[in-house]
Amino acid sequence: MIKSDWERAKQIFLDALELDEKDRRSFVTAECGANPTIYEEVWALLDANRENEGFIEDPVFSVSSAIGGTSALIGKAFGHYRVLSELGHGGMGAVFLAERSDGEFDQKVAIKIVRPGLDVEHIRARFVHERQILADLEHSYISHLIDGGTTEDGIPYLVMEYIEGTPINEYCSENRLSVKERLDLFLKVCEAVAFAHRKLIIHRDLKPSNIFVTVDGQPKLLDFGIAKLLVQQNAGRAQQTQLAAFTPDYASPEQVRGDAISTSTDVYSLGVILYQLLTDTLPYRFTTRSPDEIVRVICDTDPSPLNRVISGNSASRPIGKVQADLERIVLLAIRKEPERRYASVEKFADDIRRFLAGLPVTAREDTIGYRASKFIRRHKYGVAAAALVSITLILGIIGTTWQAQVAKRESEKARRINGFLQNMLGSAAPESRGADVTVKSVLQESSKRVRQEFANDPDVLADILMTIGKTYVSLDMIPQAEDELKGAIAARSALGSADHPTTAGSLAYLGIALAYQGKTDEGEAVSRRAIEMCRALYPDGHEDLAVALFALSINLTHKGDPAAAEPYAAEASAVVKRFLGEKHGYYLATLTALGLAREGLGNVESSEALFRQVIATGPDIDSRFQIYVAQASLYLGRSLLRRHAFYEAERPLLESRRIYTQVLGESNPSVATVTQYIGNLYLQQGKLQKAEFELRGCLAMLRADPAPEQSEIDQTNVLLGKALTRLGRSGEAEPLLREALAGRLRNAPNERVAIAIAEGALGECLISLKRNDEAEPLLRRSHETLLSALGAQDPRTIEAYQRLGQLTTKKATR
Amino acid sequence: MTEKKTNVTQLLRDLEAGDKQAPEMLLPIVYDELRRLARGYMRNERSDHTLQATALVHEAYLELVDWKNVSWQNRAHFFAVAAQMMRKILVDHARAKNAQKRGPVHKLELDEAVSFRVEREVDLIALDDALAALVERDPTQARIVELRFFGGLSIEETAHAMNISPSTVKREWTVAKAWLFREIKRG
Repeated sequence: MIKSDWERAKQIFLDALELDEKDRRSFVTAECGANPTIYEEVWALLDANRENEGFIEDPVFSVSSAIGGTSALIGKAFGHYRVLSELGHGGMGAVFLAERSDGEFDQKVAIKIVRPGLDVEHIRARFVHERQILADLEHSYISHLIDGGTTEDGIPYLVMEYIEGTPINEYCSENRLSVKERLDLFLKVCEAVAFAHRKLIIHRDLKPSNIFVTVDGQPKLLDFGIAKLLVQQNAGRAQQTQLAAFTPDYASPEQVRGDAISTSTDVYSLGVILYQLLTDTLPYRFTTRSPDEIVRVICDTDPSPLNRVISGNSASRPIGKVQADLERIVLLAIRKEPERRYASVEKFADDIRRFLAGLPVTAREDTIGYRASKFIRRHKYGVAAAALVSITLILGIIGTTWQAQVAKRESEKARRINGFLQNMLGSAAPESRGADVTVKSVLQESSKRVRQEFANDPDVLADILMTIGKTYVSLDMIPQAEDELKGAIAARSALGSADHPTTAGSLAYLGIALAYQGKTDEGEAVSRRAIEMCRALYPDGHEDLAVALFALSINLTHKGDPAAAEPYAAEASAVVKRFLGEKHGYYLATLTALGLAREGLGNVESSEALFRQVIATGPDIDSRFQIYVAQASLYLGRSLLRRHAFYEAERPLLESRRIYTQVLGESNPSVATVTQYIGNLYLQQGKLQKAEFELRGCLAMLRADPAPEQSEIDQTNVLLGKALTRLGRSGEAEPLLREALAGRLRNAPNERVAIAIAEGALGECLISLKRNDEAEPLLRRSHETLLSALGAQDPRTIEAYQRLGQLTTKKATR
Repeated sequence: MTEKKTNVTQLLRDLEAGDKQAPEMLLPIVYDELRRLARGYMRNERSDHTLQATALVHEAYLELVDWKNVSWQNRAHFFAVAAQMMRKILVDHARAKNAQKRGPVHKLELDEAVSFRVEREVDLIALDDALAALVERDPTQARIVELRFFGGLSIEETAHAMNISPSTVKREWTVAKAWLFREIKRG
């Protein structure tokens, strides 16, 4: 083809693309005139253009993932927002200024993007949960989350409120604020941090550049949660990597050493910020920024006294000398040992308020108290993070203490138990390293130590193990619960008295733990024994009886015998209502169990009504019972999903995940399960990209589990394989589906429905790969199994039937 | 900072300032670096070519460029140079692999071609051949494909690196994709 013909063909092709499909033919014919070479070339290009969607669209490598490669994102759309400029970037990601692109209203936002690394799946899963946590942080002094999502390239992003303002230290200097004004402003910051701590969120990267003051003088905290996300990312790696994640100037000794981080870490950073606001200087100077130097200075040297740095700093004249009490407050907040700082941000703020009101501050008491008795001090303040734990444990203690009133000897026992648990709460934090001080670490440590400390006192040992076991059940840490409860029963039986309340209670909870692990035969036997024992011990009924009845009902339901389960669930709920009232979590749990039994009996109307009843109580019940709302929401969502009420199903499922995440943490089997349902929902709605995102997130969580649940992984892979097939990525789907099917056949050859569904998915994938001969036997088998197991009306059977139809149609047209 | 890094960063600035010699001086440095790194990456050949290529260029970039001190325009130039090299390295690699297999060069079926994006397993040899044909017909288009596909440059960056307008890049890119697609399909 000669050059002029090629140029002409190009032009006609491009012009034709602007037209509607139907107008092209006449246009091309008219334009090409009598030149058949051009005519053919244009049509060849147009045909190719129709088929080549995505062809070489993704580069061999992706610039947007290269460090500093973020400028490629300018002008790009993220959901409704268009990126205007970069606000800043670091090794972890970048923040952009963006605005609404749909012109809906004029709103500037900040978009945060985490640089995708090699373990993208992991980052994604974390991002999803971080988003949910952030969504919870609505406070007028915290920059709030507006939106979030994933780009087409799979990069997750967060859309945040864009704050125009000045970092707090600059704001104070520029406006020459007085000490009182500075403290008032600082108290607002404390309020926001305390609010986050109540939501169990630790900032970990508080520094002036993360605390902006707006023109109207209000502080706004930025970057909440992200720091947590990113630092956790590095857990277990070398120290230097950790250091890179935060500014050493405001980092606490535990941070630079890579030790456990708690709310005290934020107290420390706030202390440094206050130090700076009062003196215009930082408490420590580093001659170099080498990791060794940073660790040495922060961990081993004393901060410069405030007034000494002020006298050497002419710029800070307007503030004047810092009063002794205020200095004590600052120094208490930046103590090296977390347990010697203020126990909470609230206590820190209270002391500042006392100072402003001219009252004696507690920071002074502490100095004396500390010298007088380090030991008592430790117990009094405890560790702030452990306070988050204590609610459940304290409930256990109260229960035990109350029982212990019965006899004098027993009250000695209560004292010992009490002492032990308090000791655990007070001392767990400084010893645990590397990870957050969580409920888990306190409990694990308790369980280890209690067995040593009370080896010769099985009476006390049994009670504490039961308390720990119950706590594990309420935390959804089921295998651990089983160990502890069995330990309690063993300790009790060593004493010979079989029908003891502790044995009955432990058996009842053990019944639950076994049911949740699918050990339903053992669970049924244990629950029946617990019921029998409780009926003998408590003729007038008891809460443990309700627990035992509940345990039996769920064991029976899980065994596939809802008819037998139903009366026990009904009795459990009646007993619980009488003893604990309608607002207690256990009541909600029994309603849910009843719902499950009814669902198993095919009475969907009744089961959904029960789940809804539980959900409706949500706003009225104590926060520690919200987990039951999460559970009922999950079951309601699942039920709606099963009968294809997709639109209705989304809300309960998302709500369920929100609560689970809040209560149980980010990576948890329950969160994984609900995420799988959400992925399934999106898959069935045809929201395939969202489905892929959720399912990959689910897989990451499942795999992160130390004892991964293989059948769940297989199930998720089946769903993911379906989503990929429908996204046109059958090649990627096939190995996943084959692996999942093999897994099902190997591990659960009796679960015919699950196998049939995996076969169907693989068949669908093979059809789209044009391998109908391979697909056909799979699809036939899948359909037959589903037809016989579920009946012709089940949506799953219908889907299988339709797939089979697709196959024969394709065959006919071939 | 290494001498190499200072050197490359300076060359990119010169290039941006219009120094015509700069690209020629840059090419061998970038090529050597990519080859050196590629040996490490390609040794354990797995399916995720994309990931390896990304890591490869990314690493070369970090090795050679003081990225805090260059503008995005400098970056575009770097990747433009790297694109040419990436094409050579990847295609050489693919040919070598094919030769090892001793089988006939596998021709793409239509279905496979359609699933390019998803598989991300572009037949690099076929693409390279088609690109060689495209250079004859339309060198601008061939260069755009090289920068976009092998260099990962955005429309804007490609426009800057080639000193043409973004709208031209967009149009030529559309045509090039259609033409190459058909060429490969036809075999």
